[in-house]
Amino acid sequence: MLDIIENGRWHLVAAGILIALSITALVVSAITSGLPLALDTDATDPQTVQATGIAALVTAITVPVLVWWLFRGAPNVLRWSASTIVVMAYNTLVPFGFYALMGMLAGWQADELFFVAILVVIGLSIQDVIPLLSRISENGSTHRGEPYRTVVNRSVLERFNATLATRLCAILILVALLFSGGLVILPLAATLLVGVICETYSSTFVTALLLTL
Amino acid sequence: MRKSTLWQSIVSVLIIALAVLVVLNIQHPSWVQGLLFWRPQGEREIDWLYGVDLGDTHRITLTPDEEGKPSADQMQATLETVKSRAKSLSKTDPMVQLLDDNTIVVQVPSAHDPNAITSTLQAPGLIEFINAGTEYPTTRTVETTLSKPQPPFPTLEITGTQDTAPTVYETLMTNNDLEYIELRPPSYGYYGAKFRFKPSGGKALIEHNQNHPQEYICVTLDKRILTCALATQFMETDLGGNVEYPVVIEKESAQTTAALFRSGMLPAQLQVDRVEPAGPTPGQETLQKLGTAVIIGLAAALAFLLAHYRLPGLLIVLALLVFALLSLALCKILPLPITLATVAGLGAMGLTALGALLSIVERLRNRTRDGQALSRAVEGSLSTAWPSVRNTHLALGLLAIATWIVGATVAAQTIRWLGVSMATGTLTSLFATMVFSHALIRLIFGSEAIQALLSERTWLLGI
Repeated sequence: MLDIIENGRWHLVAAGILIALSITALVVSAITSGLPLALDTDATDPQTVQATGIAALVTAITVPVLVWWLFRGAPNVLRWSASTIVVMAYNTLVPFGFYALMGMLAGWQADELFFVAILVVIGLSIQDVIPLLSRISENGSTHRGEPYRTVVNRSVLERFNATLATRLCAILILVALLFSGGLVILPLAATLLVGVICETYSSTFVTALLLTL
Repeated sequence: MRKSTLWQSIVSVLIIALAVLVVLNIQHPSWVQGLLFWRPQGEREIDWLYGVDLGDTHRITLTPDEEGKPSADQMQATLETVKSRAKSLSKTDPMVQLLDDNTIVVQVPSAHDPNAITSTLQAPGLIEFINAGTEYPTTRTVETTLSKPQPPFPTLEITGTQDTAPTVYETLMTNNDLEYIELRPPSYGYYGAKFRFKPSGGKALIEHNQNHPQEYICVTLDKRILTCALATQFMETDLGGNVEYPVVIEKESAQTTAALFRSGMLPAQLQVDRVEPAGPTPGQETLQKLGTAVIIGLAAALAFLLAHYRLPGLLIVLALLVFALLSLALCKILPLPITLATVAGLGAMGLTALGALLSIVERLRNRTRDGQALSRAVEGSLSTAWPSVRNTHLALGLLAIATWIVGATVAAQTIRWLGVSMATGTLTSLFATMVFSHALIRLIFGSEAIQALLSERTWLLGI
């Protein structure tokens, strides 16, 4: 059985580099234009920004609580809840950094669709983390006596095909949108594509590491 | 066949048939419209509703009248009034923004007559009850003792002759004296409209009628007469002493009057600066490109599923088509406006459905590969996948409801519709993955002929 966790530190380094790049893009954008993200004030209601922030915050509080409740019999359940928040934050930060970079390179300004994309990316993170946790919980019962680390590794590998197939379908649709969806859809499709690629990687490699740290 | 499979199959067929009927662009039978019990009578037509970004709209730019220079507070109040009026003109959310402190930009989705929109947006919204004396006025527009604001209707013509100086009618009451306007169901192109007065207004009307029992009172909107009647003949007083004035008004005038009353008078007079097609590309063009791209991407994704998963892949494709069909049907009947945000929300939930279906199919393949009998593998896969599917839908449902409630609470319509579309998608995804696909998988793999075929040709299972 392939041991994903064994090579974990390299995945953590890769994830760390991506986060560092995202933060750098946001900081450089803040220094050059005064804001971490150039906002298209003509096409964005201030309420949209506010609502996105509140919805993300509510999700960041309620989903870990839900995780704790759903898997309350499992060992290390608090770590599971914490990992859910970390993965959601990671998956959200990277599209922010990407957009800040595109703002500097191509003059992209965050509009209402950007905030829609952020909430969708949060949804996609949940969509990948919860089935993985369910699989770990299931395997914990069916493979009693197996070390926790092995159960996590087994679960990640068993989910790998389904995760990859789902995300490949998403990527095919988003690439089609990117190339034939027109200018209006381009930033939305690009942000979602970055989000999907990022969370495909994180759900397989980063989550497994966080769960076994 | 298991009893539950039979019921799941019957329910699936009925719901899918109803969804097909709803999605088709046909004249829907009255019984289908009758199912939309939450909508008022007369508003149960089943049609697509497009939002600002995907519908063909005009961008209308309004600025204050050159004569008046409104303060910042007045401009803010004017913006709120314009927002309320734009909302009354559209079945879905309009876009109204204040730019540069004195420019209001309005986009009303699915409204094809920009002149009609600008007339309503600019209208001062002044409702007056005037004393017309003993003779019925001969003109449709009148002058009153309240000289301003001037009527903004460019298409109105005075129908009476005006050889002499026009009569200036005494204004008895205005919007400020009204409590509400209630519209009654339309009949023969007319609405019954009931004006209810505040206590002070009601008292003034009673006093006037006592002194002028045989004189007409006319109701005007921005100096245009809507209706006239002898006040003593029509005035009503309810048991609580509240004064009401029920009249009959042309349907469109009644709707406009009620909408303008609800939105309030315009604090600053506005003029139309520009009317132009909205957006870098018109909404219909974006919709067309979006449709083409989705079809290309979806075709590639479905081809991959069929090629990689074979027969189970076909079941996944069918379940996804059911998900799409039900989501579209719900968009039409709720109605849920088609915007890029709602498309993104439904797309995300489509991926949830796909993830759930793949989790069933992957388990089925693994169990079959491990040598389990097909019927046992099917039941084992369906039952072990259920907790994962349930938990995922529960968590995403939570996100959808949080987004919906927060969007509605802070009046961020884009976020609110995203939440609604995700909640809708959660329900349709649950149906497609837990009801339809369960019935289909058990029907297909429960068949002895299929089992015999698959035992010889395991490649059909994608193994």
